[in-house]
Amino acid sequence: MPITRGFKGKRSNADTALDRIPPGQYVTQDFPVLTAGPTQRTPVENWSLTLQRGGEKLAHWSWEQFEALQQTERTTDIHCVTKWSKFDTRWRGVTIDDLLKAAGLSAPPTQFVMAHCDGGYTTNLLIADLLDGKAMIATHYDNLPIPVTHGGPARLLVPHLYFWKSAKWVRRLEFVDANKPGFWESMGYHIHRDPWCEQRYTGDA
Amino acid sequence: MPDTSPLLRDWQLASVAAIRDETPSVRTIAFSLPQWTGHLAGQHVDVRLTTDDGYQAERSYSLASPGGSIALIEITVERITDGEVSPFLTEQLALGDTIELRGPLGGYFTWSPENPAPLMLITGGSGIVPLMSMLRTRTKAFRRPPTRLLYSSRNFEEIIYRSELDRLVETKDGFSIAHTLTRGAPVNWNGETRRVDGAMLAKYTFPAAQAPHNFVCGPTSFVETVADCLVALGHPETVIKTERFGPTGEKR
Amino acid sequence: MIDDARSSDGNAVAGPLGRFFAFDITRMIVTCDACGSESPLGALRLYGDKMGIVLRCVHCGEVNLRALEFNGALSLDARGATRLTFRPPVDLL
Repeated sequence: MPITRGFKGKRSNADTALDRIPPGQYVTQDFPVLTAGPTQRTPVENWSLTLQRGGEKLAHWSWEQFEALQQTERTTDIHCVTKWSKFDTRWRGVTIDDLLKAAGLSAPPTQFVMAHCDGGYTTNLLIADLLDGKAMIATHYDNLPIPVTHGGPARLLVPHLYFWKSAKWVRRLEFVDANKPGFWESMGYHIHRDPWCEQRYTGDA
Repeated sequence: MPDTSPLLRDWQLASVAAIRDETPSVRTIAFSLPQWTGHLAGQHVDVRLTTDDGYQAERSYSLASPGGSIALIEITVERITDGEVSPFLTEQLALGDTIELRGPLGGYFTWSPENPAPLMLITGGSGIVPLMSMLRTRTKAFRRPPTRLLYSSRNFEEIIYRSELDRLVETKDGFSIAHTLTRGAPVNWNGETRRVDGAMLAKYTFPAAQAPHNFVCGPTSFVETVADCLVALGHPETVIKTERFGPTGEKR
Repeated sequence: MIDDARSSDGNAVAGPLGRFFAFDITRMIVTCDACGSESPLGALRLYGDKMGIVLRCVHCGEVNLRALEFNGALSLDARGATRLTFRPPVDLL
């Protein structure tokens, strides 16, 4: 393909430890905003988080109740399937482990979860990708409340997977019996989606 | 109306034939192309840039040239601070350089002189580009319907194509302009000095009874406000065509 | 594509999506499955950025069309549209 003289683009892998970048990615200092729909702006007084299975509500928290749960801080790299990676992002929120504990669930009721968000976005996850500290419902980024454009007041954070799984504006985690595809998965994005195995699309190994 | 053939929708290498600065932050770039058989006013091209390690960026730009241009085509690019592509196009791309280009594209937001309806053009900032293609196309035509432009700019120096627009008005062929400046006006300014609103649209647009065709181009919030006002003024949606530039309200 | 000076409506997909079609798709009339309104594809609200093409109804905001290209193939999900109508261009618009 013809190279455009002088064009550098906005990313650089210079000075970066290459073992921190999954294959095919480049590092960015920005925090790009990608969205499947208009920014959702739910005021915290209208916000709640629900765990459900079928029609049964397993647990429900208002914003105050949620903020009173055990908080965890985490610094992690994040990787978007559109090829940007961002290092050392800092988050605070409630791990899924602590959420299940607070819900009185000694074990997750199923192996699969569908995350539902304001605006209708969905993404499907294996419970194994959510437990053991791997995931949280995050409310703070860089010590500040997450801006609405980045998913505030609360978003899912599952940084070991491509970032489309870290669903913005999350409101409900539904335990389901089968691994059904969410918004992007049903369009062909890989059902499992591990950046280190470079599983971007259905059909990749 | 010529529909775009598959050949014209492939990438081709365009060479920079001329460069002209319109305002301090806006530049017109003229390209010559191996394959170009003309376009309709309002259509756009996609450009694709590739770094030496294979990273690619693509953007769309409206054609500024009048419809039917064969030899050279022009796009007019506004430099967006912190943008990835526009700083490159407006500061680094030089005469003789080549970039990949695809087009002409899009048949929805187009106008041709066979359309006898009064033509209403409403725009802010760099949204003027496809509408300028329409005006330039109209100037080349035998039949020129009554045409009005309502053009919002931040300030006088940032009015793109200002002199050419003045000359078009001076030809007295049924074309008039209403300018509005939103961030300050020169001393002798006799245009408007606020954001486009319902009252301004009621004042400067063709009444719905004259059955104009309306083209609205600019930032998303501008386009939505104007389109809603036009509907409120009685224009059917089928004669309000929109092209939105810029993200849907978000900032990074 | 899409970033600075991007079009955030269906006009911008004339290249990336339109190249799979023999006709100009921005003129195609999309009937929204959620609210029944009709709009040309070029007027629909565009989202998705580099993830894919998401076109939403201008009246109710629901997804009308989604499209994704990988490995040279186009996947198109039109479940959000009851109907897609294309009239060949003999009129002036």
